[in-house]
Amino acid sequence: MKTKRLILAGFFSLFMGCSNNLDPDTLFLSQASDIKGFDPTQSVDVRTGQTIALVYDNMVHFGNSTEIVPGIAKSWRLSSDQLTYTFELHRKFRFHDGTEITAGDVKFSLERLSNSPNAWLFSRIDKITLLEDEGGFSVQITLKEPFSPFIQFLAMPATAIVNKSIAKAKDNDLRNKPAGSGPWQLVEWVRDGHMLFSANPDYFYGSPKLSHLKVRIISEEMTRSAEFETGRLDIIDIPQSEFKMWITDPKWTDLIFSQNELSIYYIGLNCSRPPFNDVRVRQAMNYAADREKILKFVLSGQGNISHGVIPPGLPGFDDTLHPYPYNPQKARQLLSEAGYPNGFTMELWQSQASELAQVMEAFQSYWKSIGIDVKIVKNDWNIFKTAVKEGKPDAYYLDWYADYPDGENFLFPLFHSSESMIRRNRYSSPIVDSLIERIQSMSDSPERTNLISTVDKIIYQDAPWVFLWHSTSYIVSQPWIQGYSTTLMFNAQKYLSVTKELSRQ
Amino acid sequence: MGSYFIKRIFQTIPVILGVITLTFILMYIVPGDPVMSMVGERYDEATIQKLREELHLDDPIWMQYFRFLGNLLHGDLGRSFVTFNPVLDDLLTRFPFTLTLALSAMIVSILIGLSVGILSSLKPNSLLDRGTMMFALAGISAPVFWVGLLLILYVSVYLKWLPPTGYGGIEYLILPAITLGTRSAAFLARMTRATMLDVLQQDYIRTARAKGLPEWKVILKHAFPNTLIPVITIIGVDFGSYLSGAVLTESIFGWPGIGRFALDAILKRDFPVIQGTVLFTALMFISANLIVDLFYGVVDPRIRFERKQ
Repeated sequence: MKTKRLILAGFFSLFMGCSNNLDPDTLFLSQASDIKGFDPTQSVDVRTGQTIALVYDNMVHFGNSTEIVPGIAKSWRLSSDQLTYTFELHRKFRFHDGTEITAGDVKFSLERLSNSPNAWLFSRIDKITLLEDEGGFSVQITLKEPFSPFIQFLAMPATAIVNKSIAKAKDNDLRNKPAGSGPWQLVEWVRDGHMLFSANPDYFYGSPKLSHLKVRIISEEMTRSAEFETGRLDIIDIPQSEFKMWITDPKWTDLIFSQNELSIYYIGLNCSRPPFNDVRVRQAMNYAADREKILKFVLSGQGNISHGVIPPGLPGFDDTLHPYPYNPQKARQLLSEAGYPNGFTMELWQSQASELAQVMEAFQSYWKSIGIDVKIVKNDWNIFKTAVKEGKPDAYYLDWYADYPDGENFLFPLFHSSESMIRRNRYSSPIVDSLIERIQSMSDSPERTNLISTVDKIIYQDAPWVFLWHSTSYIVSQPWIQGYSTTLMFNAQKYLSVTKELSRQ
Repeated sequence: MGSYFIKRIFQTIPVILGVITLTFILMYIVPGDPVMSMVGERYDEATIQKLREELHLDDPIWMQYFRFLGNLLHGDLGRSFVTFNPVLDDLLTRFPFTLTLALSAMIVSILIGLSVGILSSLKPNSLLDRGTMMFALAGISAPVFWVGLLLILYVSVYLKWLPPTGYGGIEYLILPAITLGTRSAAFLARMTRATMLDVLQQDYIRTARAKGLPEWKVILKHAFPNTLIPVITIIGVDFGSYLSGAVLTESIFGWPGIGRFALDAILKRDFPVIQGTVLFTALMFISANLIVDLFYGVVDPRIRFERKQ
């Protein structure tokens, strides 16, 4: 019986799944692959996080830039010992089923994290206390030790607040049936096909202006472009391979949005063994490649060359610094001093994607010119990630995107020895470790910002990576789309004020 | 006939068992770790260990193998490591998409393949024959993704006749069906032509013509049915492979079928889904072959007779 029902449901969605794409009340978006599900605690990737942000809400939100703004919490204060946050919740902030969000939902939602792939977010919390005397709308979170980025944790998709009574109900499956309070409500989900949402008319911060939002799963970049060109998608990310075509087409130039992303692209060098245990060799790798040229010609200039790990836009980014210049003579000299006058051979790992291949081949040829023989090893993402964790590659090409907009997020997970030595490029520096730990415990201040810049400089000199660039994303919208703007953090985008005026075709 | 099919069905058991065993061994030989697909860039070691325990990944391989077989006997294919949905449910909801695409591709393939094959066999080495066979060769050689993207570009973007991708009505089915069916149509055309040329030389065709039958009757009633055995074989094999999912066509046209499901599972090392889709594929091939066998008997009564003997 169940089998029959499932097959029938499939056939139904096959023929009834699509509505008119020029529907003036529906925003059509696309994603390259489906999400993991609607359980916030399982959200470990950008696509799932973006979708979670549509149907759930958090205690606090990321604003359009690096600021934190109120969400479900109306206000909050931090105790003088920097350990206890006290939150006051908004009254009448309701879940989709109409029940009011209380401190009990907050405690329940955050405690769910402890038994999830996002347990690391919970590991900073000592206890969560409900302040019953204030009517169930106040909650205290006590940390094990001072940790200034904690408030930003509460704006991440994984810490979204779920409806406790629904989530605890027997047979409930949050992965398939969200229980949130966000601006959009899930209407239909055809896995690998599409997700249809309707506007939450009672959303606390005002219902979205459009009545529906449809996210279509289209894995091919070129077909996403074709869908957009035929007006069946309203907003798309411009594919890297088609960048020049879009940016030079007068039809679209005025409709393109660019956003400097909080990201860093790099080639990690395994610092735990020769030849990259010698800082001179690592610096030589940085001097030996003309990154400006590679960025310009292979990636059509979509980014900014990095002179450190902190991306522009974050406190701690120091724009008086300069990147390693392209200087092959200096690179050869450093290699000779390190005892490698004739270079060496090495493996450079990457996960599979065509534009990566061109980037890696460009580096391969630059390094060849100073005697370093690079063998490129391509593998799928899973093998690649496992190998990096095990410290297998001599070097690997990877990127890092901010979980939250704070310099600490670019320092601790990437360079603190407790992280780097077990799952990244085996970089260990006691000075860097202790400075990062200080940054973690300091409250937001000019002194903290200066310290972030200082650590960034030390790391750049130490060159555990070949530092590449901070990416810029380009997004194009249809002429009939109004009220759209980009956001710095991926989950700050909720499409609340977007409207469609089809007369502007 | 009935006992023949029962025998055939029993014969499939070792095939299925072989497929399961081989997939199991391959999954554990191939490097990669399913847990790595479940966690993000940040995780702690305790989480990894807990997930490994929950998924029984640290159990000896033989224990995992027999647990899978035991569950299978109860009709349970397990749950996806990534989505935690029952694999069988996910397969069943995707199957209508795959089946619809497979049937439409077969219709395209049969309509084009048979008519082109018959037409070109009637006037061998004529301009028409050479032209159609050249197209057939191009159809076999053209990569699926290239055909798909060209169709999208011309038919959808330039001419705006059909939607580029999606599902929701017959208009969404035409381009993927042509894309998927082209290669099979080309094979079918060449096979039909070759077999027809052979059949048209037979004595019974000369007899049919000698007794004054109109040419269309000679072709359709006497020659064509005799070409069907190899033609049905090709159709059966292609249909079996389409039913197990057409990864490229599904990816290009945003079609949520079994092919994309399987590919995604392989990339994420989602073992239960890989095992489920491989098993499903094997069943589809076996069923398609059984149906082909049934059709042999329909088009050629001698086959039924021989089996009875």
